[in-house]
Amino acid sequence: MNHKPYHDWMNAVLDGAIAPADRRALEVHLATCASCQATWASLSSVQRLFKAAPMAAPRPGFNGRFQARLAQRRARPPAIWGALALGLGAVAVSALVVPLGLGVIFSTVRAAQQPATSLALLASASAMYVFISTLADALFIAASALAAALLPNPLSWAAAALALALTGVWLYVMRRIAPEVKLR
Amino acid sequence: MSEQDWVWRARAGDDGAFSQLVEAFQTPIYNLCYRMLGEAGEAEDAAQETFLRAYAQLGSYDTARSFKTWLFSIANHHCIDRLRKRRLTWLSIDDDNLPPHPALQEQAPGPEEALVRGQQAELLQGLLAKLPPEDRSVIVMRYWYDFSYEEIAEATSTTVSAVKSRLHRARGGLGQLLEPAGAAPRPAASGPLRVGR
Repeated sequence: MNHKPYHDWMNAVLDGAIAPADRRALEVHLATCASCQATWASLSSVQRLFKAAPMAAPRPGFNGRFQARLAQRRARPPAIWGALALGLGAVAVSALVVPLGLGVIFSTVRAAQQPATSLALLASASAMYVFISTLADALFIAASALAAALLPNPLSWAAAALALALTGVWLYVMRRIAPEVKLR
Repeated sequence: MSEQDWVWRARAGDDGAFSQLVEAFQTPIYNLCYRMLGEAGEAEDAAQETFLRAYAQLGSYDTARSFKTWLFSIANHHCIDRLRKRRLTWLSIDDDNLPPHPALQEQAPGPEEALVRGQQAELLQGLLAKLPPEDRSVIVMRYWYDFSYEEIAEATSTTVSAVKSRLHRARGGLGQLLEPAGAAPRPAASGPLRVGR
């Protein structure tokens, strides 16, 4: 037997939207159908439980908190300006990178097509490597000499400590002046 | 001054009028958010966001439409978006992890009654958490606000037949969940159709 019409009528009863004739037909059916009796019982349980449920209320001061949030939201610059800046930046970078990139690609292709140019490029790459290695060596020697001169000198340590202390003071002052600035 | 007057004045830029609307609707909107999201802090956040969005969209609000259903529509869609973004934690009816909301226990005359109320609140919220978000919002609007099918359809951006279908399905599902929990005794099967107390 199809019980769906009777289930629909049960819901209509719960919603106060059943026609009198349908209500009578449902009552007659419920008197003899155990399955629908069980369904009606469970739907009634749901109805009782939810009808008796209280309204949850926010903590006192909701409107005040909302006003503060609204003021904070208004203080933000509109998102469109950020989006505009980002868009313009992307266009500017593309205007630089894309032609350069294309130029490099085309130049490389043309150079590869000419053996003499390829050999010259290889030679310059090799020379560049030698230059960078020599520069790195020179920097290392200079750093070693500087460390050898400064490390034993107590004045160097005092100067470094003073610089750190001044940096800490500066950060503290900046924090007090602009506390709303937070790192993400 | 009527609610419609506040709406008109708020649309004209009167922030005091909008504040009156927040006062009038904070509890219903908060309740909807709490029933949908199941957590007091998140409900507060969602309710606040609802009013912020309403404030921002006041200029586009159609005055021919009910302000209440428009506001509920914003809250409902926002809560459903939040539910979709977060991983749902399915609550068992026997789970004690969801404490009763303090606002639901404001009037607790005795410890026994408070215990019963707290258990019922947990049961209720646990049952709601088992429903899909769309069914949940229909149940909440029907039982807490007595919204008509048409009002629910407007607030949930769907049709009246879809509302009826969701409501019937949700009731049936909740009824099946209630039975194993033994939350309520079955009423007498014969006699007039009465829900009883």
